[in-house]
Amino acid sequence: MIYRNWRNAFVVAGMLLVGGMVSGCSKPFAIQTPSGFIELNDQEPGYDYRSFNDNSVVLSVKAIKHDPKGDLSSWSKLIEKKLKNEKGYAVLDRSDVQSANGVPGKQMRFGQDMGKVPYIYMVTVFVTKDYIYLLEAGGTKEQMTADMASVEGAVRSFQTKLTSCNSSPQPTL
Amino acid sequence: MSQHTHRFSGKNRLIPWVGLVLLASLLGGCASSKSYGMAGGGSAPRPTSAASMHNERESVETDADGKPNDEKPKTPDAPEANINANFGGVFAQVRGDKKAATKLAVPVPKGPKTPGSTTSTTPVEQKDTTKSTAGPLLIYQAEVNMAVFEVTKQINAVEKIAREMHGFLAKRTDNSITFRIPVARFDEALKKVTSLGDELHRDVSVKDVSEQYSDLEIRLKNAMQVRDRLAELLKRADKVKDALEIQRELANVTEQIERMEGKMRFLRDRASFSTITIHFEPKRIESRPAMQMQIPFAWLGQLGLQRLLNLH
Repeated sequence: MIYRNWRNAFVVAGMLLVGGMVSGCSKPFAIQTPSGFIELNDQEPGYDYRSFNDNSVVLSVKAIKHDPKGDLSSWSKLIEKKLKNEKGYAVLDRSDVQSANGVPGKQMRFGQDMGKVPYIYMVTVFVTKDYIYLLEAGGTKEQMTADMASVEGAVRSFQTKLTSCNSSPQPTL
Repeated sequence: MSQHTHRFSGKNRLIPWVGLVLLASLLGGCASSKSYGMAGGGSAPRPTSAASMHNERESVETDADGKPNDEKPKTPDAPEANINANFGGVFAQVRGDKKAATKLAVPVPKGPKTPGSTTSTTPVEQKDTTKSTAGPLLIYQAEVNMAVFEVTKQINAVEKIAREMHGFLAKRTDNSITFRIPVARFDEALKKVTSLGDELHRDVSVKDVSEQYSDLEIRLKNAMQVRDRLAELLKRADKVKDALEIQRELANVTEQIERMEGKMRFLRDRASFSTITIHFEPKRIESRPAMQMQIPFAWLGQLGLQRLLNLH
């Protein structure tokens, strides 16, 4: 009886470990979904995380394999140039940020009209040895301004690749 | 000889004179162009190169030629020179006008400046030259592409700036605005409107129309003299047919005069009021330089609100 209990316990522990690896540990990052946001399960190809709230503000994360290699400055400049010169976004602000596990990043805020409604689009970039992380957030200017604290909170909670599911996250620069 | 005399003393007596007067006017125009060439050295002043512009995104498109084909001064050729040498009378007087015209063709100072240049003539210096040919007659135009954010608000602000600076609205659409501004305030206006938003691209062009204007001025003067002579001939015409013929020519010359005056007015207006167009959209890909680098990362192209907000 005791033997059977031990065996069941091992099976459950194994299943939990595999489950953890498949779900939480499969993403090379961690982010806290802000209060009032709903995380989408089925992501469009290219997105590793997306959530939205009832104000139609959307938050997303993309983890892109860092190949070829570049640094934070070059990638963020490239992103800004692409959005500004080719897509007509207005650069509203740039700032230095840091992930929850201490990886430095760049945050850029853009503006663009869709129809006649002004929208805010925020891109935060973190660069590690293995990944380029793109955190995007967007919505109407009005709603983004109202929900900016939640979005910024989510960005601050962001952690790049975890060394282990159970251990505390380490920067992997 | 008697036949010749008879012909000219007959009912068509005035027709050769009308022909001569018209021919003289044509040659006078050609000669005046040549005289301008001497004065101006045939080299219209050119704005400074793009490298001297204050904004690195700013490019200068210069049309130093500035003449439509029909307005280009004719170079003297052999047949015209022969005609010029063989005719006297009225034509000699027109040649006298050519000398006067030569005086009118004031040499154009070298090195006019484009707006934004630190070493060249600014539109401010040009402002008094628009009513005469004493100096370069420059037409300033700017096309600016701005980021697409709060467009309506920005268009309203641009319009306000234009009015405050004694300019006027030329055209307004949902995503662009064109306004005319006194040339003296071109730089200032450009600076003000581009500071309203995020500038993506700027083209500033300076077109030198001094030669074209001067040529028109000389041709106008000659045409007016031809008109006066035709009017005199009309007074002396004693046959109805002659009078009708002269009147027809007079109408043609008058029409030419009006056309030239209109063109001169147009050039003066373009030079005294610069045109600034603001487009709230990125410069179209097809109008960008062909050698622009294509960045080979698909994920960069996928950035943007359109894709992010599409939750389907």
